[in-house]
Amino acid sequence: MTQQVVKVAKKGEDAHSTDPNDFVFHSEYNTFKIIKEDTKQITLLASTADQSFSESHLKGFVPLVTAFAQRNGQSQVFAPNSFDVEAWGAKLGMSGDIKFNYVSSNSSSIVFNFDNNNGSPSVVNIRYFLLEKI
Amino acid sequence: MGQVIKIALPGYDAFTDTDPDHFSLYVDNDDSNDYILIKEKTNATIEVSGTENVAHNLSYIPFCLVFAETTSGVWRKLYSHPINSSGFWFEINSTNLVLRNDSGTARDFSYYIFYDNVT
Repeated sequence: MTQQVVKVAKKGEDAHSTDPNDFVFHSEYNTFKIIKEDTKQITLLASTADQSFSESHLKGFVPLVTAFAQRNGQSQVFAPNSFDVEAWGAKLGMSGDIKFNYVSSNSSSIVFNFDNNNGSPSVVNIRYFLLEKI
Repeated sequence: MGQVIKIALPGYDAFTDTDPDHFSLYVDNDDSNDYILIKEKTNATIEVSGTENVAHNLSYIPFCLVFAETTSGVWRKLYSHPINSSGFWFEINSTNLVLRNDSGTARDFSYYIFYDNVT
């Protein structure tokens, strides 16, 4: 029996191409599905490092999680392993004193970890995506 | 009118909706964007102590996702060299996905390599 394939080539590319980069979609290759998308607002304690915030996901397996943080009232979004501003200087009034250390997950919950070097509490909005099973 | 292939998510009208976030597949030749779906090449879990090279055989730098089991059952998404001294990180070149564990204790790493070229 002939293998059936569904392919959608990028504009200007040949649908018979053998290069996976020429396709928007190719049924022989898995594409990641967003199985959950949500937001969480947290308040970081003043002048405190290594603060963890947990969120239940109820999936029953360890999901692949990607997350982005936004200091309340600011437009910039930052990913884990980064500060909230560019390293070479504060921008647009942001002081760079919040660090999004990491996001991790287990079979029941997600953990977001931050440092706050600011002398006052800071509200941070998180948007996170659960993709597939790790 | 250009060629169109669209698959709407439940609750949205594929004929009238124009927000790509409301579609699982969105292709419209009249739209300047391709809205490419990333394509997985392979994934695996391996134990890493020090440096492990995973050959991807693509001859270009592919998009990758990497996670480390930092404690039993807890998986952390990794990036480039860590700013919090965890010792877990990765880098990608045109030959290998390079997994790094400088923590001094062997850990399981789970990785995904995609066909999508990032350069």
